[in-house]
Amino acid sequence: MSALKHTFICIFCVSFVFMCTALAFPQTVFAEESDDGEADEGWTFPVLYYSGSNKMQYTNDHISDTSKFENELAVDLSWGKFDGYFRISNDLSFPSEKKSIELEKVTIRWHGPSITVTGGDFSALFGQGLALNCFEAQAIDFDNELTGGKLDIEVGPALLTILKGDFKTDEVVKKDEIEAAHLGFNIGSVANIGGSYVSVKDDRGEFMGTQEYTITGVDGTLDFKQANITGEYVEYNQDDDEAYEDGSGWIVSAAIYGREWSLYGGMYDYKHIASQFAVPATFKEHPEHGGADGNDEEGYGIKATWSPEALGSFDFNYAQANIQDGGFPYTEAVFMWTAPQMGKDSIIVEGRHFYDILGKENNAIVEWQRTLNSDYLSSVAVEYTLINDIFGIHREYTVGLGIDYNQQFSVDYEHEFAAFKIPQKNRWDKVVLKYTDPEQKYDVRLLFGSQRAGIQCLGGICQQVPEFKGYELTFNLYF
Amino acid sequence: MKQIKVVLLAAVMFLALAALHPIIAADASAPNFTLKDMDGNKVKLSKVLEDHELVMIDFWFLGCKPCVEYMEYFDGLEEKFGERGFKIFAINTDSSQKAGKAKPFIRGRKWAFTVLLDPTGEVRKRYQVKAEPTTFLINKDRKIVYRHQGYKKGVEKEVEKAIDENLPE
Repeated sequence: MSALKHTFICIFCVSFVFMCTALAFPQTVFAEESDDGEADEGWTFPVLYYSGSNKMQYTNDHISDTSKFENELAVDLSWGKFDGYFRISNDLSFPSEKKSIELEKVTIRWHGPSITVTGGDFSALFGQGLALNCFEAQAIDFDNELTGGKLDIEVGPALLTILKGDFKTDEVVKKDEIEAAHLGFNIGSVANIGGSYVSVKDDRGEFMGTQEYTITGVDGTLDFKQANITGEYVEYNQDDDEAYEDGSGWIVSAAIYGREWSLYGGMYDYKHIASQFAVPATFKEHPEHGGADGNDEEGYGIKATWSPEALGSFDFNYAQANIQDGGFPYTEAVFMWTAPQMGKDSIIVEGRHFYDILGKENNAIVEWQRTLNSDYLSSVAVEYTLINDIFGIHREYTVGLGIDYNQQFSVDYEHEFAAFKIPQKNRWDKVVLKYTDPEQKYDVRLLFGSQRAGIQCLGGICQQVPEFKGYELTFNLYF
Repeated sequence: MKQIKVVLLAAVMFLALAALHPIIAADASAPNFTLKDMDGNKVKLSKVLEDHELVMIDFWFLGCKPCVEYMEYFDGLEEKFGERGFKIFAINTDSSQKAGKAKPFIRGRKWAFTVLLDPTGEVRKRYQVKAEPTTFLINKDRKIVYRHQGYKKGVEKEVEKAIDENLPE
């Protein structure tokens, strides 16, 4: 059964059950809750609320010799206690790749006084994410969301989540099935404890067959006025196949904070906990550095902040990680000072140190932005980076010039220069023209020029973004 | 063939909505949501709008420098317009990878506005947010009356003007 078919069957079943309920108990289903949680007396058919966007984009990339037209329609609907979302798209963030148009997401939810029923595509997070962490990061084309059904039941201090779904990486190659539950309890206003159970049938292809494993775990938080502690422990139990090992993992973190400062620290130890439905947390600020394995490493980190009004704000982050099976260790130290408000100028100074498989890298970055004219909102931004790595000491800088008029028209130019040629090119220039409708119903954006290749990260997930040279015309409509 | 079916399905859904329009009153509006604040309290947009004239929501994440600069600025706005029924929610979109750091980061500053957590990005998706910071002003009728993406110094005047225009005197 294809995931698409599965989605529609789920939606149909959920819709059918609630249509029956609606006919039998219309007030229960449609009436809005009042402040005290009771349904209002007397009801009429509720208003259908909607919002959405339509993105149309034409891209012409000279490097990959690709031209493509992309379209994305995303609509959010709510009607009484129902809400839903669907997205139809062939949009891909990588300029050199194309995909055909498809119904990417369909979700429908019903919200009762203490229960929420979800059918279709949904995200899920248990505890700190060691047992289950499914979400979509569209900007980097990462998506491990599930398709199926989810039930959230809240009774007093207890919250129970039960879900069943599947995940398909490719129409033919791979399809996984997952069943999971999480039960959490609030103990007063200071503590929360929970337990997770996740069962996965992992389809590893025609030759490797289906691997079944379960994840069980406990998580908890303690929250005081000026401190908090969080932790999670999980065990991974594979089935009888000797090719796979059992594993376990834990993470604990604590923070204390005052009026102008905070101190955060944490440790973790993950052994053989690889699951595509969990994205274990690390303490790195820059996951684009270091070849660490988030499913099989140990590490620790601290973060300190101090923000006295007269001096701006200071942030310091240190993270260290070791791969369990002898991979290369990773160390990161990042310091950042944001200067206090100085009229037309803003300054951010940043120092970074990385030590990973590529060697040591030290970066010094200064970002300076000046507003030149209040009517036209002109700005200049400069970022200077000094790098000391396996190629020796070399420098990079980025200069950005921008002019905005009345938040309707804007022109931005960015020039990036790297003294070290990678592999042959060391200059990238791009211009972005943008027009925004005064009522913000639509905007038009034209980008032309070249953009450097690199690793783009979001929420700890990184993807390699290829170099781009050409133009991109985008029209966004909001309704 | 499957792609054609998908397109057809979309067309049918749109037609159905259009056909329903005369029967069911339809209106463009901000998606309603329930998120937890940093103390674990649930915040529901529709409930907040019962007590406030205008709500500003701003999507941000740790490591987004313009987001932090912007929050530094708008921290004073709730005090300035609060008496006229103005409320700010900064919605943190960090996944669980970084969400643990968000709380001490916020608490270690003197910001007065409420921070909500959206670790799976569900609300971000429903508001069609493509990049942070993105700001919305939502009036009592749950209409989006202002939308802005990005932050550059100087944009403050426009934001304050939009707030002032959409609040009762």
